[in-house]
Order: sequence, then structure tokens, then C-alpha cells
Amino acid sequence: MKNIENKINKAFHNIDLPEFDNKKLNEKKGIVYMEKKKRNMVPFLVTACTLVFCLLIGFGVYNNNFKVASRIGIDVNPSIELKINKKNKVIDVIANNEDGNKILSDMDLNGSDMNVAINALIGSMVKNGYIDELANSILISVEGNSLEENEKLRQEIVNQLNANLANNNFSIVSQTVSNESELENIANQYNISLGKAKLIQDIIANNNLLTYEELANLSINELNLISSNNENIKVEGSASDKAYIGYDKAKEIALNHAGVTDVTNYQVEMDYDEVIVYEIEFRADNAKYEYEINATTGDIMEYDIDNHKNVNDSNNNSSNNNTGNNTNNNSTISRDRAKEIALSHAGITGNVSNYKIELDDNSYEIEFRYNNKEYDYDISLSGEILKYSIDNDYDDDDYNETHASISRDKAKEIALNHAGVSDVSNFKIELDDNKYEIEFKVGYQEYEYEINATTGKIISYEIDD
Amino acid sequence: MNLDGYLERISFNDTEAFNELYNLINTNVYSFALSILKNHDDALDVTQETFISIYHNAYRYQNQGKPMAWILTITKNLAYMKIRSNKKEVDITNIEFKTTDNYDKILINYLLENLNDLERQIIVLHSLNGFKFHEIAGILDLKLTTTLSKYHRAIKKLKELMKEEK
Repeated sequence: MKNIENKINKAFHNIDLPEFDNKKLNEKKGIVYMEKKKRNMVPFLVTACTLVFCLLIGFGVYNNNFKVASRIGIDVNPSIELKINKKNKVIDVIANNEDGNKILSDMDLNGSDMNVAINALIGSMVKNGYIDELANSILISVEGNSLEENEKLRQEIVNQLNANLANNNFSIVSQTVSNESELENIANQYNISLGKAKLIQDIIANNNLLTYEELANLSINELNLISSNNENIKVEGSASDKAYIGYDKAKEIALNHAGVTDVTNYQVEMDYDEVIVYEIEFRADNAKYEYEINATTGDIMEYDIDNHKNVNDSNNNSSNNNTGNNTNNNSTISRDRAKEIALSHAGITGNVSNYKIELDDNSYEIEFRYNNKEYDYDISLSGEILKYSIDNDYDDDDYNETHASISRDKAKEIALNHAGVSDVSNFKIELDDNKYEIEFKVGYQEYEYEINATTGKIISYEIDD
Repeated sequence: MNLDGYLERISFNDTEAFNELYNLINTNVYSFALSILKNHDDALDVTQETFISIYHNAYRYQNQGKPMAWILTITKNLAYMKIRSNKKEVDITNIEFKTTDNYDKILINYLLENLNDLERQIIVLHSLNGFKFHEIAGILDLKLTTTLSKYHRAIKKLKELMKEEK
């Protein structure tokens, strides 16, 4: 194994990569795309300039009443954008989604004062049940040409809202947004407002294991909850967590499960891992505990107990790959012994499934399933349990694999029989979504089969010369 | 100096540290970008964008102890954006190697042609960065078990292919 990987490592290091051109650092982000476009843009620019020039002449006498000075985004789930002029009068209102349309249906806000319009919109959202005690977050995003103006406007809106909504227990997230092409791309891709894209961008900057794909579907209240520790995001009032079990209950569940009462370094935050979760960390008796608890149901989704006092992180080092072969002196336990230790710790005497063991960084990484749970152990060469975790909730293609009722060999047999061949090359088989995808060649002919993994029925096949 | 140290210095706009970091890990970034994009020019673009982003965002990296994972997550996000904006064919014809030996080219070609996307990304993350499997699972948003089984499948495929090569 290591052999192939070393070769891959070497092959990539043999690729000649260009030096970094430091001039790129001082250009604005996103310039890389623009360079390519520049050439094509010239004719457009000429036309655009002429047009702007004509407009200036034509409407020069017009005062600023119809010119958009700023855009204000209001997101709850309904997403609405107000365009306002220099005098903070609304000149246009746009709904960014279905719910936004509903809110706007019977309102005519053109010409009204910005704060009056925002109030009316929020009132309508409350009336229509989009804002309630379970989800009380409102996102206000101010976009315009001047950072200073944006910030002034943001403060003015937030102050007004605070004054008007003082008794309502709302949580107002507010931000200024500069119109970067990067952000606009994201907003378009995920079909969300620029403001929501900005909020998600700030969340990801703080926790880069999250993705736009996942977060785009969350509500503003959910985003507000999981970003509570993010200093870059300005929030007035706190997001409602009444739809969830609450911090105290989550703590109780974790401590009960761990069987400890006296803990130190207790930390909890809400996070997202396919669902909204509480992430809890604490120490007790020299061990470090980590729990992930489903915030809606209170189920323990995953936990991790680390007995090692000082786990050193080994990834501050990049291209070095010399693990595994380090001399391991004195007492080294065997793979079988490591398995025994893990199973006896888990209290399992029967047969486990999907058992895997691997020597990695001077410890055994063991993994197996039993009774619909997935166990991971990290056991040192001297037999000490460094770390373990138990996942009560797994589903992936391996899970399907154990549930597929016909074997890979059987599926192969079915395909070959159907094709009427026996001697094939480049045979590939993969289980995906409860069907086997099979590919093989006979001479230059390529065959592709899809076979139902439960019934063995051929779903489709294709023969290519 | 470890990567945390570099990021710290870069957060103060230290271009010397930035260039050192680039020379140290550009292959890691490029290889991961290539494993997603399968196109040399796009992978070079994303490598450059990743480093520009590192330069501007180093101050946001708050010593979480996983600098390489942080960097490669940026690479992943940028690469995915690129995929969406222009879907291109597999193209590695203009990769230039420092050696004249054809072997490296064949090997990289195997990676791109014979492994599926996740298999290839896992193999590249494991062989170039020495990540542990749970870290790879974190970067790619996969379950540990999925990561492991895909890894084993990929290694098996590669072994067979290399056998044919000899």
C-alpha cells in the first residue's frame, strides 16, 4: 500500500508548478476570473459608457429621487429587498422567494419611508406566522457603494427596530454587504439572497468544515443559532432555541451518559451536522469527553472519550508520509490482542461485522459494527485505549452493502450469464444505492450492467463496441 | 517552522512567509485541486486562488490545530465553484514534469481515468498529506467508514493497474 502511495506522492512532486506571482496578492479577490473576461468586455464597456453618458445628459436635470442609493435585504424565510434613494424613500421592492411574494402580495410600499416599510414588512411576517417564538431571527443586510454610508444606515435601521420591537423578543442579525462578484456567484448558485450568502460566508470562515450546500437550506434562525460564537456577526437579542431541547437538557443527557457529575472545562455550542446539534465538550477524571447530541430529539449521535492526556496533533507537517514504519520498541501488542481489548471494552462477546484494523501513526485504528452501532477505537501499541467513539446513527453505502441480499459474485454471475461470456477483462463492480454497477470488457467490446442488489434483476445493460 | 507559524506571519501580510509557504505546499494544494477538477489549467487557477485566499484570510485562521485541513477546505470550495462555472473535459496534456520518465505521467493518468472522484480525492489526501482517515472524512464530508472502504477499494484498483503496467 505504502509503496503505491509513495509513488503517487513522488509523481505529484515531480510536476513543475509555476512560481507565485506576488502581484496577484494586491489585486482584488476574484481578479483571476476577470482577466479572462476583460477582452470580451471591451465592446460592452464602450456601449455601456455611451449609454451612461446619454442618460446623464438626458436625465441630468432629474434630481436623485429615482436613483438607488442603497439596497436593504430582509431575510426571515421570506426574502425581500428594498431599494431606497438618498432620502431613504423606498423606490422599489423585490421578493427574492415564494414566501417573499406572499408577504408583498397586498402591500404597496413605493414612496414610503424606509423604516416604515421595514416595520410593515416585519409586521406582516409576524402576522403570517413566519416569525414566532420558535424562530425569532431577522437578518438585515445593507448594501451600497460606500462602506461608511452602509454602516450608518445599518445602525439606524437596527436602532429603529430595537425601539419598535422592544417587547417582542426578536433577534436581529445585521450586516453590511459589499457587492463582490464572489458573493454574488454564491447567492446565484444556491438561489439565496446576497445577505444570506454573506451570513453563510461568515459562518464558514469560522468553521470551515461546513459547506454552502448544507447551510443554504437552513433558516435564518438556525444560522443565527449555530453562529452564536462568531464575533464577526452582529446580533441584537438572542435566537430562539425553543424548538430544541435546550442547553441544560443537553448537558444532563451527556453527563448522565458519561456517568459523571463533577466536570471541568465544560463547553457547549450549537452546530450543524446534517441536523442541528449540541456539541458538548468537558473533562472529568483526566479524560476528555465529546458529545454530539441531536438538538431536536436529544439522541446522542456520536461521542468520543479520550483518555490520552496529551494527544499531539500530527498534521502540522505537510508532505511527510513516513508513518507506519517507525520502529516501535519494547512492548508491542498484536492485532488480535488489540481486537480483544476493543471488544472487551465495548462489552461485546458475539461476532461483529465490517471489522477493520489498521496500523496508523503508531496506533491501531479499529472499526467495527455491532447491533446497529459503529465503533471506532484507537489503541496504542502498548495496549492502551487512546480514543474511542460510538456512532449510533450511521448510514452510507457500506450499510447498504450489508443489507444487499445478493453478493458481488452472484451479481457478476448474473451479468456474465446474460452476456453469454465467461472470459472478461477490466471487470469492475460497485454497489451504489442498492444496485450493482458492473462494467467489463470482452475484447474491445464494453459491457455495462445495472443489477438490483436485492432481487438480482437486471435493471439496464448496454453493450458498446 | 510549522504551518501555524506561517499562517500567523502571513496574517501580518508577511510576503516572505507567504512565498515560503507556497513553495512548501503548492503541490499539496495543486494535487487536491486536480483530483477534483481533472484539468491541469483549472487546477493551477484554483491553486493560485487558494493562496490568494490564504493571504487575505490568514487572520481568520484561529489556530485550530488543523492548518492543512483549513487550507484544503478552501481549495475544495474554490474547486467546486469552478466546476459549476465551467464544466470541462479531463485534460492533463499540458502538465510539465521535472523528470523525463514517463512513469509519473502514467500514474497520474491512472488516478484520473480509473478512480472515481471520491476515491481519487481520498487517495491524494492520504498519500500527499498523511492525513488520518477521520481527518479526510472531515474534509470531504464523509463518514469514516465510507472513507475507509473507498480508500481500500481505490488502493486495490491501483494495485491491479500497476501490475498490468509491469
